[in-house]
Amino acid sequence: MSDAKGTFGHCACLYEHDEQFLAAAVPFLIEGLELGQRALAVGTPRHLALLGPALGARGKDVDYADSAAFGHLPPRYLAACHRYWKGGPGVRILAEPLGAGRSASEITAWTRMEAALNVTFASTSISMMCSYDARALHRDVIANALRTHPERAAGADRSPSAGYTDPAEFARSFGAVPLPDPPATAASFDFDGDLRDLRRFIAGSAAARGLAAGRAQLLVLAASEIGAYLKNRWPASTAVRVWEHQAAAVCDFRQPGGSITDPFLGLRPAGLVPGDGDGLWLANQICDWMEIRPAATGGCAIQMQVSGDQEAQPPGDQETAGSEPGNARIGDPG
Amino acid sequence: MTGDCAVYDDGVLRIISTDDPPGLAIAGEIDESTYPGLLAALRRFTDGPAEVHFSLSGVSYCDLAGLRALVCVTGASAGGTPCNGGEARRVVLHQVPPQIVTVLRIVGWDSTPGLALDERSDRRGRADR
Repeated sequence: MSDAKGTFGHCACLYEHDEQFLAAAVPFLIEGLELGQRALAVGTPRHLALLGPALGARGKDVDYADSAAFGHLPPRYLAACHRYWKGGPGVRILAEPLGAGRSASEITAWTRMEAALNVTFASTSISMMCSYDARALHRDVIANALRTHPERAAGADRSPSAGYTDPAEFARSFGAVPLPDPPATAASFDFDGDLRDLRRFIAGSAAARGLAAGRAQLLVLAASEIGAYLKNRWPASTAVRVWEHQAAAVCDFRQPGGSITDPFLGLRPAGLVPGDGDGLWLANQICDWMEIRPAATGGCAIQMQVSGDQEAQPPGDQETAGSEPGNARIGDPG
Repeated sequence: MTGDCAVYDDGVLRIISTDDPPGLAIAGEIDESTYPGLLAALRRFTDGPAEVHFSLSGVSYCDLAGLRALVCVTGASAGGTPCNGGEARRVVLHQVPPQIVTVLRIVGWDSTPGLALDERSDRRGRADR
């Protein structure tokens, strides 16, 4: 795999026993180090403990991050990987984004993220190896790994993945179910383009649902960025609804004239150079989840959720682990 | 600071120019409707002093584009060219509301070369929440 700038590498390592995992993961990391690259291993404590003895003396040169803390939601994982790269020379990232124990909806979200990486990281010089434990995962998850990764790894060898599917095509066909309609009891607002009015409505709705002040501010920020995106593209007013779901606030936008065809909108990391969908990217980082879909009744729908119970843990804090290799290091796993 | 004067005020966003230290005191809401006013106020620093200070204590809302405009006064590299189109300078943000600190960290702009957050004021901002 090439590590020239602008050549994203993305291979799947499907393994049925630990030795198979190590036979691919260890050369992947060491080859990167020998090329002068930084190398990061993201995994569960069990994974990292496996890697330690196998990496031997080079283990001290690898950065480590616990997968529970390194971008625990797909958009934040994507951002954390991007921040580890920092726009510099090539880096290697070994991770297991679809670890065992994920719910059906999590599997869908992380699988879609795997497809998104091929597009949103295309201009980076990140090389990623995503390991999949075939013992613990459903065969559909494994089959999709071969559709979302252009290459697969066996030991130090790489081969093209025969099932690799165009990422946009994959994202439009996999898990892109229409969003459910808001409940009839939802607070509703007709957004005609005045962002201040929209923010007042969101803030009032969040307060009425008992969202803590800091979380409510983040909901307002995400909603205002979504509102700005919609109003600048479609003149018709947008129906906005807010309701409570399991101690979280859910916010729904229905734009009858809208048509969003880019399945990766809001997944390209924002930088100092303005880009399309930067505000949606920020919203994606703030929310527990955000979905952009065609609405069943025509137009487009955006739904997002901000939970009320994370006052002490703003979204940026998990990502600092990815931005500073020194912080990402959780100790020699050996 | 006899030189202080309002350089922008549309009832939603109010920007006061400060002379000592050179900078701005910003209050109100920054979104796309007030963004042109912010940009006009920031333009004075394109060829200005090597260090500018922005007091954000009165900012009740700031969108991503507005925050980018503030950060870009540093002239940090964006895609290989200075994001302010001019010289590099130090930018100190004072009394940064906690929500803005959160966004700076999410986007990674808190580590922009030349940008400093006044930590003392930052804590005060948090306590005020």
